[in-house]
Amino acid sequence: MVGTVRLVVNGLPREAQVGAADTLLDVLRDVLGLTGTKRGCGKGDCGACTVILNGDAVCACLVPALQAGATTVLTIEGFAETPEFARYERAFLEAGAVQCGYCTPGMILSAKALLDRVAIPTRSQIREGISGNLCRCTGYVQIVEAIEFLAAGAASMPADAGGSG
Amino acid sequence: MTVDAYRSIGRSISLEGPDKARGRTKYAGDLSMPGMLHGLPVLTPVPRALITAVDVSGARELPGVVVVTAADIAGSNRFGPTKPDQPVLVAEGEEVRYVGDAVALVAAEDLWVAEEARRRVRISYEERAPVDGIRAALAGVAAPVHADVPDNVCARSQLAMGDVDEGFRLADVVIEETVLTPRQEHAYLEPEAALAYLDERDRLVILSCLQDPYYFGYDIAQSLGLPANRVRVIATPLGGGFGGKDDITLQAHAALLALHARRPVRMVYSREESILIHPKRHPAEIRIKLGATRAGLLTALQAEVFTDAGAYSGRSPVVVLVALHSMSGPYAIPHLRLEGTALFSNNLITGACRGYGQPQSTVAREIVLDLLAERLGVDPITLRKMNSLREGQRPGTPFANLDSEPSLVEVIDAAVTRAGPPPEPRPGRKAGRGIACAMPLFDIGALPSLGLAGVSVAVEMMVDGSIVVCDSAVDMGQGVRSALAMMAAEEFGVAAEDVTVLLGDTDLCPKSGPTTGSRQTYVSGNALLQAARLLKERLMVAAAEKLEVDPGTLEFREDAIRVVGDPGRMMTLSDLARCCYYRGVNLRQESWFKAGQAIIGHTFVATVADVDVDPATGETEVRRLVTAHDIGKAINPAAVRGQLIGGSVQSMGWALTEDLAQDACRVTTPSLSEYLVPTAADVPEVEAVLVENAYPTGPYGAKGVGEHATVTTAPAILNAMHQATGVMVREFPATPERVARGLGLVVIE
Repeated sequence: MVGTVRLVVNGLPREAQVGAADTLLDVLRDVLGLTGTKRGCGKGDCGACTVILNGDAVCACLVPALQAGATTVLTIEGFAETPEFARYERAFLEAGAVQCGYCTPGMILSAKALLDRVAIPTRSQIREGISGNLCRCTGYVQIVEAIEFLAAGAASMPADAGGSG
Repeated sequence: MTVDAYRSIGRSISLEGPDKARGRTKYAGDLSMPGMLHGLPVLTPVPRALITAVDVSGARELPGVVVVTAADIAGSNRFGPTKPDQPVLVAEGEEVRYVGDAVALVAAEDLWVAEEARRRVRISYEERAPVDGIRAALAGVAAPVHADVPDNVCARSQLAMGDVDEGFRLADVVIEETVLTPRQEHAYLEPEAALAYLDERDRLVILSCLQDPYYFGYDIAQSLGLPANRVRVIATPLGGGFGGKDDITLQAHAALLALHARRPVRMVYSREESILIHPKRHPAEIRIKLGATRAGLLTALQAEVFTDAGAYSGRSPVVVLVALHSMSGPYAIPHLRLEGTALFSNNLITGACRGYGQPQSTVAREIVLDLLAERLGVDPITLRKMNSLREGQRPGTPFANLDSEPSLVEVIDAAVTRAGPPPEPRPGRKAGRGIACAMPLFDIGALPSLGLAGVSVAVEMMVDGSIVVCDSAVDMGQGVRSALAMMAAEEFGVAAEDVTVLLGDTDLCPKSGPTTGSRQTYVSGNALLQAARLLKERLMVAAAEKLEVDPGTLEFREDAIRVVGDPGRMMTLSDLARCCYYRGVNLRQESWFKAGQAIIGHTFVATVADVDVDPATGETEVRRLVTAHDIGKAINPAAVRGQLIGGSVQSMGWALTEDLAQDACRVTTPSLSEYLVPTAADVPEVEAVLVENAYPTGPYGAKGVGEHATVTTAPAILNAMHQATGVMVREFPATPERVARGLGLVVIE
């Protein structure tokens, strides 16, 4: 271990002993036990480890742990605790945007970062905004729909569509 | 019962979704245990070599490091679903046969220490000339991949009907082509991971993302020298599977390390290891010859299919068989002669990949049909409709029994109608629309040659009336938990959300076979319905006695058992279960489902693709995909749509960008920045059209659906490019370079 990193994760001050080669992803998963942030490639190619760092969606695997000091990080576990999350969950489930689920936490956080920046994005802005997050199950169509629902503020759930349990 | 009477069936439900969205679902790589070691494989440095020595002394010098070689294996050290010819670890004096072969394993508490230990393993070897693909395997230019298989033939398959020579004599037009299909990487987002440990009774427990818990259990057991009843396998939710997690990879390694270290061991592949090690979609060379009359009636089909099986048998014998049995597809072709050969090479191993041989055969047939249509001056849609199988006609596989009216024309009309007029090309581009059709097959648990015959599911009513379903199927995103919960809920008149479904655990769940072959809704659904109905019969007898009515007058509805027509006369499920419990009525029912005949299920699919091609660069943009499927009955429409759209985009990648190329048996694109799967920015509008013709033997009329969109999308795109440019790409992915070459443009290498 070469250093101590202090950062705010999901609203709480956290501290971790890290090695020179450790990344923010290692800190989140292996030190803090926040396994909702997924590891898919370790190279920033797939977006499964997307978190929101100081307001921007980033691949946690590309952030050296030693450089993550004094940052504010939101992971899926933290976002899921917020009142805002319910809309995202409903929109993603209603659209059928969750299949295997491995890309989902990162995808939801990329969607949030996009919508925080652009309230009503065009379809091509949505596609661009999540183009760093690979999904091999859905074909993306349902994910784009989910984000459009959110943008339209229309994430209302018909009586017969489940998914909240 | 009318559709409207269903409480759960036909709704869009995701019981799996909330935990996944919240990041609460534990995939195998998310698991950890106290005292756990991190394991790593030591892979061969070259694709083919004789291993002369494996020196692990440097690694063992590191404190706390565990090292295992083939010498530490008590069992056969061989596994494989069709032939046990793949080593768990390659021993000194043996050959490594592909870049994914491991010669040793290391483990340590700290992953960085394990990595240092891996670096310290010294492998001495004599490099051998590798067999680098189908042509090399046929030519015999290097020593055979397996000494006991001198001709490199892993498997052969034949299928003949009628008299193909007579069929070609009847033909006015004959088209002959060679089609080359690329190796496809599944590219699931979750790289393989496993956690193995010995429980308090020294039984080996393996938790991992895998598609067939019982198969993994017994093949790992015998390869490591354990009785099968000393091994428990628990399938964790898969972060994508698509067939690529149907075969053993790191599970045997994690198990071996755990046995040796007597501590829990977790292994997680890097993306590169995942790409190098697990089986891919078979590259194929298909020589195809199709004959037709001047009017366009097909008279004969002849094909030779060569697939690259890679280094070990895996599922190659079955994949090549399925390629032949899907070759004539949804058309009536009286004379067939088909031959398939799977060839060993020192390339990556190949195996199950969504579609299982059908995408390869279908792309060859469907692009040749378009070339035939062009030659005859017939519209490609008309050509397909006029050759469609009709009721009573014989399909081109003895495994498909046309037990319902073929719906090819119906799905073509559905796809074409939904597609509407083709879009205007973008400025400077050439637009084209293509179509492709298929009669995809799906497993119904009846064919022993697939190794999948028979399925068991258990249903239990707890003493408070709540329902548990046990099925060793696995959740890989397809929604099997929801589907089983919905069917059980429908049978017992409860809410799907209130049913507990236990999946994928060999200690808790009966044998439900592999989660492959688009089979789970059909086979597990049928077994579940059998079990539920037997259990309901017993419960009805008990309730009838209590309510003093005839059992035949009772039904399960709205959380109770009720007298039909007098719903107020009832027992709650809780009262019923308690009553049965104390009277000694068995509240658990397991049921074995096996179809009566040795057949495969089948369905009909048509896909329309609209593309724009830039004639200056050969670049292709898919504008729209519309795929229409006769799915029998959609148990869960959102899940069906997800399978169809996702499968379409996966097949689009195969058509346009995805080629896991190898050079001298090494992988040239071992990352997701080099092997290009479609991103959100690449995908077109994709629409799934569900045609529901209830399947007589399916649960609630359902058919299999999981693989079928991957079968038709690639040929629809290639046919659309042909319509746009006049260039038919016969070797894909249809990269801009290949299209440009077809257009006669100068391509700078």
